[in-house]
This record gives sequence, structure tokens and C-alpha cells, in this order.
Amino acid sequence: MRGDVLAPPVPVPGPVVRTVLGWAGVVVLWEVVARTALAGTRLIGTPTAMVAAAVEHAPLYGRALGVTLGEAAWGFLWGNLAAVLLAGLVAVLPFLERMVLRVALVVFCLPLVALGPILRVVFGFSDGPQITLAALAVYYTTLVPLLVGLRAVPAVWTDLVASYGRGRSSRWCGCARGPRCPTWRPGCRSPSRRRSSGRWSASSPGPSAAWAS
Amino acid sequence: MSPPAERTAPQVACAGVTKTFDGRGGGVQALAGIDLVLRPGGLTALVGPSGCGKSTLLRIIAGLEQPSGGSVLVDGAAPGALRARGEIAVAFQDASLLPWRTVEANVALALRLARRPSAPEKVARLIRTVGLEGFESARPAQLSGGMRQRAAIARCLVTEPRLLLLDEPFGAVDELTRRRLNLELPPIWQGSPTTALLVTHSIPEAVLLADEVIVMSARPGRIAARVSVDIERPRRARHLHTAEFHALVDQVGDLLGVDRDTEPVAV
Repeated sequence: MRGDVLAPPVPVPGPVVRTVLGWAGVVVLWEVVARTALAGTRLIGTPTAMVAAAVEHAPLYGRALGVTLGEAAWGFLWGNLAAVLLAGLVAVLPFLERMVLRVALVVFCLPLVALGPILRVVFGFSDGPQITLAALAVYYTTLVPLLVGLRAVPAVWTDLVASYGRGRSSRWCGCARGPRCPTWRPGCRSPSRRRSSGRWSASSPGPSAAWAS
Repeated sequence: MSPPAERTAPQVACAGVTKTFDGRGGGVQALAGIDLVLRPGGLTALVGPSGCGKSTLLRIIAGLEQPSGGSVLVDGAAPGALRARGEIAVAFQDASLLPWRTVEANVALALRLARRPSAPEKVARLIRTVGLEGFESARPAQLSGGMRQRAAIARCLVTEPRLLLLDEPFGAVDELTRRRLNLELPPIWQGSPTTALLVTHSIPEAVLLADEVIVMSARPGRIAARVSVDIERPRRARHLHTAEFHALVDQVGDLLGVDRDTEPVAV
């Protein structure tokens, strides 16, 4: 056993190397399965074929990606701005909270496929529908954590601000930063994946592209 | 240009103040017919059993609650005007420091809330005075309970309030720290034209700090007695061991019935 203790340690690759090796293994497995078990089924393409297609049609994919990211960014901006304004409205007029949340939930739950044609009619041929859909995918998941953060403000902080004769809006602006940020930031991040996937489906060829493009 | 008006301690008068909180099973009367005049420039302590409305009365004087009846006048006017000028400061049991701000920024916050120009020198001087020199850049989470309370007192005093309302400011700290804060902090504002009201559960603290102790009865809160405290100022630790101090503590204790024998609770 003494020999085991004195043996030189086996070098262990670092986390970055392990991650790269893991992903490389997945890609190799994907390539092998696509070329062997699923060959000829047209179910999935191989990674090498996809890279070759992306290189071959680089200008087309680049333009589509740029348009999609641009619209998604505008939607993210407008959606979060709307959520902040609604949360501010509820903070100043708390009796509106139930109504705002219910309307927000109903709008958020409307199927994108149903909203698309309506937005196309409203906006005509512009980026409006795409940006609106991206904004709708974002705002609710920002609004709810923001309201949770605003409600988490201890009463003594608002009393402190009120004791200097400041109004309700000052109370929220002055002392809500701390509690609302921890809930707001993840809220802003969480819809980003949904937004991206939503925009991807809207910009993909197919029935949805008829109204989204 | 006329010289600035001399700052004077305000006269605070409560007349027939009542407060009833709405509830499902009918209202809960917290205060009933409070008639009270605070000594201008002095410190008045409110003591009484839990739930007798001490903090409610303080909040009404601060303008944080509206009375159901009666009136509160500060220099003959509603306290709102004094509050709007940032001349009222309230110290709460919880130090209520904003955790993302440093000690320095928390103290300076009161100036911003009171719409006063920033005064870094005054903030630094007050931080030194309350014994927090070297902790200007510390966050509240890095401070002990006593240090947080010192910072809260500094924040109260930075606007040079004419009316200082202390709602059990030392209630959340341990006994040793409380005793130290009782002796160190009040001299900072005493001598300035400030009328102060202290709500406390501690009879020795009330007697040590106050010029007058108001004893309140159980709910609905009424003023049961007034005890004048004529111990010389400045008050030091040695005063805690004098016969006069103990006699006053016993007198207030008797008025509150703290030493009365009670029947054991049957189980």
C-alpha cells in the first residue's frame, strides 16, 4: 500500500479541457449515429453537412441571423420597458395590481399563432409583428419578479422615506432597488431563451412565416 | 439679507388623540383621548405595557399614521409642514439601513430625502461622533447591531432635526451595547434645539434618558401618569447607581405594576 501512496498522482484535466472533450464526444457520437444507424432516414443531418451548408450559404444565414437578432433585441427592450412601467404603476397605485396582473397573464397566454395575423393586420408589412411577439414573450416574466421584488421592500424602509415627507413614488424609487434587483435580473434573463426560440420559429420557413415575415 | 431665523425646539401638543384600527371583528381601539405636551428641547419617554399604543402615538406625531380623532400640532401647525422641511427624524427599532449602501451613503441618504444639499464634511463628522470612524465604506451587513444603530442615529441627526422621534432605537441590541449607547449617543443631540420623544420598554433606559416619563395604561392607551426626572445632566454611568435613580425606576415600575404579585397560571 505504501507504494500506492508514493506513486505520482495521475494528471486530471482541468474543467475547460473536460468541457471541450465532452462536447467533442457528443458531436462525434452525433456524426457516427447520423451516418450509421440513421443513415438514409433523413431524420437528422450530420454536423459536418450542416457546417458545409452554413459555409456555402453564409450570406443568407448571416442576413437572417442579423435580422432575427435585431428584432429580438428590440422586442426585449420594449417588453422589459413595458414591464417596468406596469410595475411602477402598480407600486404607485397598488389597487391596480390584480387587474394589471390578470390582463398581463391573459395577453401573455394568448397563442402566438393567433396573435400573428392580427399583428400583421395592425402593423402591415413591417418588423412590428416580430418585435411585438418578442416583447410579449419577455414582459410577463419580467413583470412578475419585479412586483415580487417591490413587495419585498420592508415597511420600515418606506416609513423611513415617508418620515421625510416624501411621496409614494419616492418611497419606491428610493428604497426598492435592493429587493427588486435580485428578482428582476433573473426575470429579465429567463425569457431570453423563450424569446429566441419564439423568434426562431417565427422566422423559420413554414406556416408561421406567412404572417411573421 | 436678513439673518437666518434662530432655530428653536418645537412645541408638540396632542389633544384628544384617538386611534382605532379597522378589523374584521370590529375596530381595535389603540389610543383613547391622549392629551400630551412634549417639553420643548427636552426628551420625553413613553413607557407602557405591550400593545398600549406607544409606537402608534409616535407614528401619529411623525405623520406616518393619521389619528382617528383629536389633533397633533407642532408649533401650532400640522406636523406635515415640519416633515416636508426634513425637520423630523425617526429612529426605528430596526436600524433600517439600506443594505446596498455604505455607512456614509446611508447617513447621507437623509440629506437627499430631506432635499438638502449634500454635506460630506457633516456626514464624516457625525460618523466620527457616533464612533464609526474607519467604517465609512462598510455595508450594514459588515456591522454589528450596535454599530448599525449608531449609523441610524447619525442618519437621524445629519439633517439637524428639530423633532427627534425614537421608537425603541436600542431595543434590538444586547444589554451591554444598549447601556453603552444609552450613555454615549444622547449627549450628541442634547444641547441642540431638539425636542425628542422616546418609546421604550426599558424603565431604566427611560429614567436615564428622559426629562419626563409618561406612563401609559394598557389598551386602549391612555396616559396614566407623568413622572418628572430631575437627575442632573449630563448623565453618566454613576447615575445608574444612585438612590435617586433607583427610586424613580421603582416609582415608574409601581405605576406599571411590574412588581405586583400575580396568581400562578393554572395549567
